[in-house]
Amino acid sequence: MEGSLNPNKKLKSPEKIKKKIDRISRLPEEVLHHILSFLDMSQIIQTSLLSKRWRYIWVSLPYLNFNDLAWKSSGESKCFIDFVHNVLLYRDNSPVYKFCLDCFICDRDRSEDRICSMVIAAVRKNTQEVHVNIRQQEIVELPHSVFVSEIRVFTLHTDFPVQLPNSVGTAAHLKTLKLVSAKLPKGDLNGELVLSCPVLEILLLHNCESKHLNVFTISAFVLKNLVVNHSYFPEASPCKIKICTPNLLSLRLECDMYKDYSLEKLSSLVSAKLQFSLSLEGNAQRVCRILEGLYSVTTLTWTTDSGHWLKHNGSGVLEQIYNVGAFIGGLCNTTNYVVTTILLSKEGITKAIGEERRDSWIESDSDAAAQAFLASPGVLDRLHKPFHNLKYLMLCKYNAFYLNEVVRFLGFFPYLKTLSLQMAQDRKSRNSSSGHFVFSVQRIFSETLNWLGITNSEL
Amino acid sequence: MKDSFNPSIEPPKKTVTLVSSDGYDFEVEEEVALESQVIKDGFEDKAVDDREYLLFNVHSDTLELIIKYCEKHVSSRKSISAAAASSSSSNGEEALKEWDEHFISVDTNTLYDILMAADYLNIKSLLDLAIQKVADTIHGRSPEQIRKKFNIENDSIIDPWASE
Repeated sequence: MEGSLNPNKKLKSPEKIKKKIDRISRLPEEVLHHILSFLDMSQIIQTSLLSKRWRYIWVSLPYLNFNDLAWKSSGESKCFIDFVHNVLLYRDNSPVYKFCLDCFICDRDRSEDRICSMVIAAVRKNTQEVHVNIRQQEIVELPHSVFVSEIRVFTLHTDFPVQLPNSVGTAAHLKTLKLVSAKLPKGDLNGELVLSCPVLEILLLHNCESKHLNVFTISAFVLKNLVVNHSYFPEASPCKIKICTPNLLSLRLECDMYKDYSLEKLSSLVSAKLQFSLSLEGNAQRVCRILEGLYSVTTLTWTTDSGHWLKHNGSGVLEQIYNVGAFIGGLCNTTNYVVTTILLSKEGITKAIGEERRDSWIESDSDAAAQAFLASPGVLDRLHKPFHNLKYLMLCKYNAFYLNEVVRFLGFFPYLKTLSLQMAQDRKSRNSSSGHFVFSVQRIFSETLNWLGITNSEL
Repeated sequence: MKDSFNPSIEPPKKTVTLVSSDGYDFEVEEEVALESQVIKDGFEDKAVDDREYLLFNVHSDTLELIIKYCEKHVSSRKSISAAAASSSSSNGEEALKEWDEHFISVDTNTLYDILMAADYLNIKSLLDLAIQKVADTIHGRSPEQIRKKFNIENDSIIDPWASE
C-alpha cells in the first residue's frame, strides 16, 4: 500500500535500449512544432533537409522566431530581411501564434517599408503574440492594421523611436502591451490620446516619448499592472498624464516624467512603487498629488535620488508634504533620512519600503543633507499622530548613529510587527559594517519602549 | 497505548492505481497522480474505489520515471510554499530546477518515452522540460549532425548536403 512501485517489476528488456530507431520523426506534428518553437527560423529551415518527413514541418509552424544574429556573424545581414519575407511568403495559411523579430536594420535597407511589411505579413494571419526588437536608424511608423487584429500580446523594444498608430488605444483583443523607447500615438487634433483597450491587463511604457501630446489618458477598465517609467529623460514632457483604471492592482510610476499627474478611481490598487527626484523643481507638489491618488494602497515603495533638495528647498518642501497628511520621518542616515521622509497619510498602508538609487554624487553630499535635516526644526516633534496601520517598515542605509531616533520613532507605529534595517556602508570599512537586519518589534524593542515610557497596547 | 493511538492521527493517504501498458500496477498518492491534467479532468466524477487508470501508452519503465518526477514536484512545491509562509528564504526553486536538469539528462530513447508520456498524460511542466531538452539538442547542429544524433534516415531524393 505504501510503496509506489510494484515489487514484481521486471528488468528492462535489453534489445529495446540498443535498437537505434528514429523516434523523433514519429512524434506528432504538434509536438515537433513545440520543439521547433524554441529554435530560430534559420535553423528550423535547415531541418527541412533532414528527410522527407521534415521537409514541410516548418511550413505550418505557428511560432516564428527571426533573429539576425547568425546572419550578422556570417556577414549576410542584408539577406536577412529577404529571408524573413520568403518564409512568410512560402509558409502555408495556418495561423501564426507567435511572431518574434529581433534585428538590426540600417537605413539603406529602406527600413520603414521593410519593417512594416514584415509586421503586416505576420499579423494578418490572426497572430496572437508579436514581439519586435529592432535597432534601426530612422523613425518607423507602424501601420494602423497591426492593432485592428486579433493580437493579444505586443511588445516593442527599439533604439530609435517607432511611431505607434492611434489604433493601439482601442485594440480590442490586446491583453499585454509593452513598449520600450516607442513614440506614443499622435492622438487627436487637440493632442489628446486615450488608451482604453477593453481587455488590456498589463501595460509597460518605458522611455516612451510623449512630447507631442497634451493629455495622455490611460483608462483601460480591466488593467491590473501599470508601469510608466524612464531611464534617461532629463526634463518633464509638456504632456499631462491621467490614470483612471478602477481595477489596477499594481502601479509603478516615475514621478518626474510628465508635466502633471492625475490619478483617479484607483480603488483596487494594492501596491505602488514610486520613483522621483526631489531635486527637480515642482516635484514635491507632484509627488504629493500622486500620493493623494494612492489612497487604497497597502504597500508603498519609493525610490528617490537624494536628499539633495533639502539643501535648497529645506523645510519648505517638508511643509508641503506634511500638509497632505501625516508623514513618516526617515530614520536612516544621511540621504535616506530624507528619502524616507515621505508621507504615509493613507490609512490603509501596512507596508512601506524606502529605497535609494546608488548614485555616487549623492554619497558625497549625504552628510551635509543629513545635518541639514536634523537641523530643520521639529521634524520629530511634528509627528503627533500615530500610524495605526503600519505593520512593516524597512529603512535603507540606516546608520547606527541614529539608533536613538529609531527608538523614538517606533512609538508612532504602535502596530508595527517588523522593522527591517539595512545598514549603511561605511566608506572606510566597506565590508565589515554593511548588513541587513530584520527585527521582530515585539521582541527587541518592547523593553526599550517601556523604558521610554511609551504605552503600547499591542506590544 | 500511545503507540496504538498515534497512527490514527494521520489520516490514511488516498491513493490511485496506475496500470502501465505492460500490465504493472503502480500505487501512488492522489495528489501525485493529479499532476497529470488527464487524470485530474473528471477525477471527481469517478467513484473512490474505482480510481484505477489504465495507461495504454506508457511503459512501466517510463511510468516509474514519471511518478518519480511528480512526487518530487509535489513535495518540493509543499516545501517552497511552507518556506514562503514562514518568510524564511529558501532556494527551493533553484534546487528543483537543478533536480529537473539532472532528471532529464537521459539517453534519447528514454527522453522520447518521457516526452510521449508527458504529452499523453498532459503534464505540462514535464512536457516543457523534455521538449526544451530536445530543442537544445538540435540547436546549433548541422542537418548531418542532427541526423546522426537522432538516427534520422535521409530519404530525400536530393540531398544538397551530400554533394558538399
